Amino acid sequence: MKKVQGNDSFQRINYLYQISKYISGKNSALSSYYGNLIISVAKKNVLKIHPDMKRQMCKKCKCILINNISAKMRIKNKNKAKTIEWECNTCGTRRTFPASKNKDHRVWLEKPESVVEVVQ
Amino acid sequence: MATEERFNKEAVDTIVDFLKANVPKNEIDNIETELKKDFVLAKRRSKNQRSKKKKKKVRCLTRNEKKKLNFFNIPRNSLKYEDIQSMNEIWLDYVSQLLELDKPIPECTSKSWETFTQSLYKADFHGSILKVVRSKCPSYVDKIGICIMDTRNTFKIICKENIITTIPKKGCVFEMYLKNIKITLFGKHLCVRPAERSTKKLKGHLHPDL
Repeated sequence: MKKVQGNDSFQRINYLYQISKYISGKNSALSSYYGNLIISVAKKNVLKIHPDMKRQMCKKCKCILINNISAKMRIKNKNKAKTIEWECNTCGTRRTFPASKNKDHRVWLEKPESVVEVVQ
Repeated sequence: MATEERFNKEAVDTIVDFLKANVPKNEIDNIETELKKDFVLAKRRSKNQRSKKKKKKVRCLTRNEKKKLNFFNIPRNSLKYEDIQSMNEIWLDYVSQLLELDKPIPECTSKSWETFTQSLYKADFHGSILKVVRSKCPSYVDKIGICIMDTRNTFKIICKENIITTIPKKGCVFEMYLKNIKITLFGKHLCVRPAERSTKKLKGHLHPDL
């Protein structure tokens, strides 16, 4: 197997994300502690957090947001364009993502042309 | 408003009286004209002063806010052992993948031993079962629990009776259990912040306490 650079840190981030998500409904303090750790590990090793992972974290307290458990999700109309709004239950910050139908709002990593090579 | 105006007038009168009493005689006529002078620039504020008043948007939680949300002290009985137990199962998967436990463990003297210990040192300890084997403080000895927090100088451990205890790393020897392997850790060498540990290089040989 070809090893990716910073593989063990990626594994660590992945693991921390899993526990943070698991614990977020039960104890928000621990969830935000693990979330902060994810960011500091990524900063120390100069790695990028995958946007899917990053979008699930609260911007302010770094808890993992799960609908109806640690956050509220609403779909809103803003100037005829639809947006998804996430509200964190612990700190109350809101975050909006654009989601209108006739526009392509996918992140670059989700698009098929971003994949160059699949390492086995 | 009326009282304020009256007060202002009184103040003006006293000032004028004071000036009349103290200024040399030949300049008394000039007092009223001097007082009526207007400073045009005094009433104008510079643009820099106005823009400074805008508040900065706070991006992350401040320390006070964290304290209000109770992020710093996790109460002694707030968590349940059963909830954390499944965290340990995830951890076992993670560690066996990281250390490649499906392959035989390298010998102490072989070359791959060093990479094995390096990757163990870089691993995450949240969710591992830790047992205190030796300690300078006798009351810590024989405590078993799952690690939930890992700070620079302490481990936070939750034991089977749902009690959270903090154990200082310095001066303690821990044992870690992975399926059928037992690993002894010297707490003295783990006194680093968990995020920094993954980038820090380990020295080739470290002497345990005598």
